[in-house]
Amino acid sequence: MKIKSIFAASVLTMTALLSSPVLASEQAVSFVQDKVAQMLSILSDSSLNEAQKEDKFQQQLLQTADVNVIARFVLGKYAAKANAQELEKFSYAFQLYALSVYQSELSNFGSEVFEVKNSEERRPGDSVVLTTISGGSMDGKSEEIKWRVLEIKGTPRVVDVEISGVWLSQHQRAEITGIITKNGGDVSAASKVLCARSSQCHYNG
Amino acid sequence: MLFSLKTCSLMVLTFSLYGCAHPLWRTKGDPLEPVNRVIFTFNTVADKAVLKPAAKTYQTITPKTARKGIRNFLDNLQAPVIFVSDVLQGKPKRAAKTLARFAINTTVGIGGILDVAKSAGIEMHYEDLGQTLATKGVPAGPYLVLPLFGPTNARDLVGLTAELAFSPLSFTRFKGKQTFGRARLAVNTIDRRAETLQQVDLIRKNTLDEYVSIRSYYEQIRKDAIADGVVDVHDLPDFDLVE
Repeated sequence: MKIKSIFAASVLTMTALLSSPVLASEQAVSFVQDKVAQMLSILSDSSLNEAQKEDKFQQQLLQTADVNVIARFVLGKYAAKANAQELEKFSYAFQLYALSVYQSELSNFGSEVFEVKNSEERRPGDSVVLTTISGGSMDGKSEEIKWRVLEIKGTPRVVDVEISGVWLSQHQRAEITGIITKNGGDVSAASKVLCARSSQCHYNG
Repeated sequence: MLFSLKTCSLMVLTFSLYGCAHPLWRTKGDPLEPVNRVIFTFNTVADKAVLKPAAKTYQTITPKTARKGIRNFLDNLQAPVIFVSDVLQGKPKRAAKTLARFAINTTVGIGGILDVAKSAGIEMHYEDLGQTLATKGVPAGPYLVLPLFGPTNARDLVGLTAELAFSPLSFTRFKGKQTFGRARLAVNTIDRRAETLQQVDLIRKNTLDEYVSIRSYYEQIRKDAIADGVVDVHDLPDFDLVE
């Protein structure tokens, strides 16, 4: 009986270990599929005015991406040097900036056809999903978009997007660390610059 | 000649002074940043004053079909460079495609104006000698901003210089060759700028530092081109999930 239980447990563990990468990757694919479909549907919803569209779209973005994880990433080597208060202020300013950037980059989309091509797992809980977008504003062309999806606290979240060969979080890291380096390693300098770009940002420090 | 030398001396002096007066921050891969930034500012002014208006006018007065024909023609002239790069990179299938495209488009496609090869299912791909050097393990070297030309790096600059030898213009002789060469350069520059009017406006609108932004775009786009658009997921950076 005991041997049977041990055997069953081993088989279950092995099955779980072998199948978890596939499941994780499939989870990433369906997450991207669902979230992009929801975002495109908001952008193409003619019953919403611009302000409502912007509000709904930003809420959707926050459910899709993990802005805190991205904020730490774009700080690069300075993330480890910043204290908790600096990190919190930076995350706040970065979130407002990132939302406005993604809003302006993606607001031209709406009626496009979105398709998942494949996915590749980097390690368990870390996948890249390859998609194509065509039709609508694409002027007869098809563009590849890659999504980096991490499993964060058991939930999939997008942390980077590659369009036309450019990973946006990596690009933002180059800009943010550039500002901090210019200001002698002062993280708050980047927070101030980001905050100045958003009318909603009220930064005191 | 004297004017050129005087101008060069003045430029070198200006850049040297700027370099000395500038704070001591440097970014990895961009040791010439202070000098590059001066040239970048000059290029931005030149773009806003001349190139962007020219590109807008070109886009307005030239019908889309005509622009497409011009782009096809210019791309076809680039085929010998792409072919040599394909061969040197050891990609015979891609080299054969480039050769077939060049032969079909130059003849049936009326000198390359029509992309008949694409209609036949032979899609264009882009390669250059800078990418070829990268595939052979040559490091990028310092990031450079060239006056009027824009961003590059030492490796791509060497590749670009070598490409002049493979251009059809280099091994043909005809009357008005120099004028044709200049016209090709001018039309190519204006057409490329016209293609990126919206994107550049978007970059300028969203950027925190336009110089850093363009450098980052350049580095990432070149890396992607060298890998032929294939992402090695293991090369991607890690994200720190510590709360």
